[in-house]
Amino acid sequence: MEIIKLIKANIKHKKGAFKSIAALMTIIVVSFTVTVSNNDNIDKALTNAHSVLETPDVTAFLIEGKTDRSIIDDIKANPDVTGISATDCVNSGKASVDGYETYQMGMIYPDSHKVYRVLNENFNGYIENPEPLGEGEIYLPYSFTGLYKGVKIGSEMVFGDEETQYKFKVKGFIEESNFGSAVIGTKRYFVSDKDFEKIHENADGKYFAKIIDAGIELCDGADYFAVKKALDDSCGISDKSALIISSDETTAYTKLYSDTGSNILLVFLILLITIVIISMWHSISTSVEMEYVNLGILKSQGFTSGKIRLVYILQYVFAELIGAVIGLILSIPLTMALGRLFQPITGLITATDVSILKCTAISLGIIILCGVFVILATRKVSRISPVRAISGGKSEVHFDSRLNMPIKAKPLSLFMGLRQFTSRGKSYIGSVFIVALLVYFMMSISVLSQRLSGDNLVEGNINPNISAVMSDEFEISDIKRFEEEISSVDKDAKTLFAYNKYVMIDGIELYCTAYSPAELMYKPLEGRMPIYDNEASITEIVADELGKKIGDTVIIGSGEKAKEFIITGYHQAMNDLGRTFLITAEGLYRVNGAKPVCYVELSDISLADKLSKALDDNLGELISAKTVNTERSNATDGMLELIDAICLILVLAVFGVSVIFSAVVIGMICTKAFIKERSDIGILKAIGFTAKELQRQFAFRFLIVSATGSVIGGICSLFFTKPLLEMLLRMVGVTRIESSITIVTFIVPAVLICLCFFVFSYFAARKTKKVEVRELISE
Amino acid sequence: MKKTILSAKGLSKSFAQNGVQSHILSGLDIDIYEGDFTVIMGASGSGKSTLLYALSGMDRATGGKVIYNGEDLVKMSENELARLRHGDFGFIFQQMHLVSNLSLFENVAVPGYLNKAKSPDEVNRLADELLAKMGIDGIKTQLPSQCSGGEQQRCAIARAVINEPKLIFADEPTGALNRRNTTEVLDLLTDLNKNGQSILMVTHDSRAALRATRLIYLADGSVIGDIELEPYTEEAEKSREAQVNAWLASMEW
Repeated sequence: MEIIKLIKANIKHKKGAFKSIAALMTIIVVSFTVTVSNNDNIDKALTNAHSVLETPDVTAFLIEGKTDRSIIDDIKANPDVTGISATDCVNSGKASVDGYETYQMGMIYPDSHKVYRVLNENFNGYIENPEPLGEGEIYLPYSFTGLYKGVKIGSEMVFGDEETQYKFKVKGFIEESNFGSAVIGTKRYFVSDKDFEKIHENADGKYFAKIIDAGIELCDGADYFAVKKALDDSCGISDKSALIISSDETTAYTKLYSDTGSNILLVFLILLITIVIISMWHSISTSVEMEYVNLGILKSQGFTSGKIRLVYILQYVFAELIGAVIGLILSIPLTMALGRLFQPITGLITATDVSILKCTAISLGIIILCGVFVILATRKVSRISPVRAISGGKSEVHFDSRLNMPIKAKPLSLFMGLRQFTSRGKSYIGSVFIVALLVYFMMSISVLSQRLSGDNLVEGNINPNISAVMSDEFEISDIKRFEEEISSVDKDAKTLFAYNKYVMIDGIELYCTAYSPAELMYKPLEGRMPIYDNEASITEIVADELGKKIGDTVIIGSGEKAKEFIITGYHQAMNDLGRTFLITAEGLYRVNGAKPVCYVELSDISLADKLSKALDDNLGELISAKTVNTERSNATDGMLELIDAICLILVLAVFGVSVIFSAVVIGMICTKAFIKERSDIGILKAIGFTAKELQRQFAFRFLIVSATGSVIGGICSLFFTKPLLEMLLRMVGVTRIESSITIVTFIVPAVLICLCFFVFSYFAARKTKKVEVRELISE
Repeated sequence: MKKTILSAKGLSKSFAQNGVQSHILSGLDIDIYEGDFTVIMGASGSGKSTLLYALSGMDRATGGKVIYNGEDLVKMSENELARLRHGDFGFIFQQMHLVSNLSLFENVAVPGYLNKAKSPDEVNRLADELLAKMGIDGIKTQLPSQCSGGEQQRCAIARAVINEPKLIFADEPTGALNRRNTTEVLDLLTDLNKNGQSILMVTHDSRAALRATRLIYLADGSVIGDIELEPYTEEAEKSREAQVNAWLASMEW
């Protein structure tokens, strides 16, 4: 009973500290609840979609012409394969929607192949039993609404060119569990059965290729990579497929950004909890110091140290509980907002539920952790002597520091602030540490956002004006003729031969990017990019996976065509989350026979038609050249805008939370400092300082605290941002971050935090007005 | 004819506590003269400290006027009062109240910097001189917590005079000191007064009262006694003590 009375009294008289801890806890709970709930909602949506739409474990797009349906039996013969479905579809090599050229590998299906759900107009539910599509109607993946601005019901989708062209009106958008995410470069489109038949029948391999979509089910516990290797050996599935991908891989792509967000949040959460613990520690130590007499009196009246400590613990736990409850409530609208933002990226209709049970459990975990620190912080209570407390309090405090600088007349407020800082240096260690952590994390998140957003995601630097597809007659040795022809029209033109494909490397099928010249698209992290057709560069992730290093050899390709390549360097790429390798176009041709697509960037754009004509006239039998919209693909822009929006929200959220944290922490520290220094404030007023000057001194002191912390945070950032981000981004394929810490990266967070500290402490010190000088005079 | 330095007319001060008004000073008139060492005495709760706050502008009177230099302190803004505190007025407190994280030298110099009437170099020189005069120049770099009460109070006196104030307000300046330190502090104040410094001091120590050139006795918020004395000399202390004690006895002290 007496404990409850004391808790009530403490809360009543120390509302500031109570509110601050509750506010900090609210921010923490909101941060993780929104992210955890969003992840859970995406997981639930994916699981539900996979289950309802019966997503196969592995999808292989088998190219008709390279194989036929007999391969299905070969696949079925594998002991780990429990089932297989085969559906005809058509791969469209050229498409545009509302004038935007699409960059995805498009697969056209009949709408009777129900591996999708049609979304309603508000994108918050599904249309039950939708009518079959009519002629000229098409369903597009929901992610197109984010990828291509303005694409809506009624928009026009065009496949092929003038020679063979199919036009469709968008009837609606669909959720498709396997390839629906904006991050995945393959998309499924659905047209009426009649339209499909027409397209399928006319597919001649130029812009339209007949594909067999093989949905493979594996037995429980089967290793996808092992099965794939076995299928390669038995029926050469990789060579006969445009793509083979497992549902685990598409799931990983779909959750790429939410998973990256979770990792970042985990680090941010650790940082925020550290700040809360420091703040609580500071608050408790100052409170014990200031309440020495009262606590001594309580002890003299029979309160044990244990009981007093229990009061502290319960009081802080109660504050945290209140903060957690408020946080959970506030998370409801924020989870809805974040869910809406992620929907066009995942291409899934996600619920906006808050994961109450999980988040309550995490909140309780945090409360218990903080409680342990409260127990440690209240150890001082045991050392309080009732006798000394009753006779006037604790022993004299000597404010002495070797850091003290002489007080100068100008600017007096700054020097007074500096003295207040140096004379009580120890009590500001926590604040300096908090600022350092905030600035470090803000800087890291700025660098991360720069790395993840905008053009940094797009490797290479070619902006083609001409693209050319090679015909069957084209031989790799013709590259030279092709280059000579380009050079005769524009000798400064950049030419790139490219082809991307899944290819076996040392027995594992990985995403192979083939570029000639490779250095046009990638910079080496170490070594050099491949130049000859027996050279390869691998990512550090692949190097770890294969256990290979520069100078080692690898076997690329499968069956008889497999060849030995030497690793000439490491590069980094975000394709397939970094599980990728790079060879030259000639190298790929050597092991796979794949003919590259050629892209030309002219030094003078007006030469585009001239070059196109020259290529047609002189190499028409080998290639089919066409001019390309000079602007970068609108589709890529759409995706980048989405990612930029997420990065911006991430930066704003981290900066915003840091500012709020600064405000709350400053509020707590200032209140305690103010109570501690009330007498000094009175004295300074008595000798003629105005309340405004004292407020300025107070603010200057915290400006010095924040500036010191910022510098430390900046230095930490120089050393630790790179490893932190490399750890966070490894999952998306980035293993090394270029040191992109600039003066701006430091200045923006540092100035923001310093400004916050200055402004908030200035406002917190407005109480100096209320300090009466007569408080110093004893009657 | 003495020149009035500070004048209060109809001065009232009341406090409200739990809805109950208590009137400490009611319509009090008082003049403080230039060059005087005025000592206000009275029993505990007589309102002497309240009178000191009101006269010094540290606290606002609830009624009446306090005229200094033709201006009413009651109507002055916070900034104007702050200017007076680091300019024309000096303060000495019973508990010294030195700024805990400033050295003795800095405690004296900072009000000088604040006043801006002298250059920082002049302030530093004057602070050194004052500390030497107070006999604490040897410990000027020490913090208040490292000094004795007497040393702190001498520093507080130096601080009070750094800006050459027109009037020093002293609230029980010897209340927290031992006998030896009390004498030292009183000697310093007496010396200052002999050099023309006006001092208004509140005390309940009759030994401190001996240093006054004017004694005012306060009871229930009203002046009930007011006498003038010859300037203090050590030689005449005994006869002065008898005179003051007799007068205090007549005030029912």
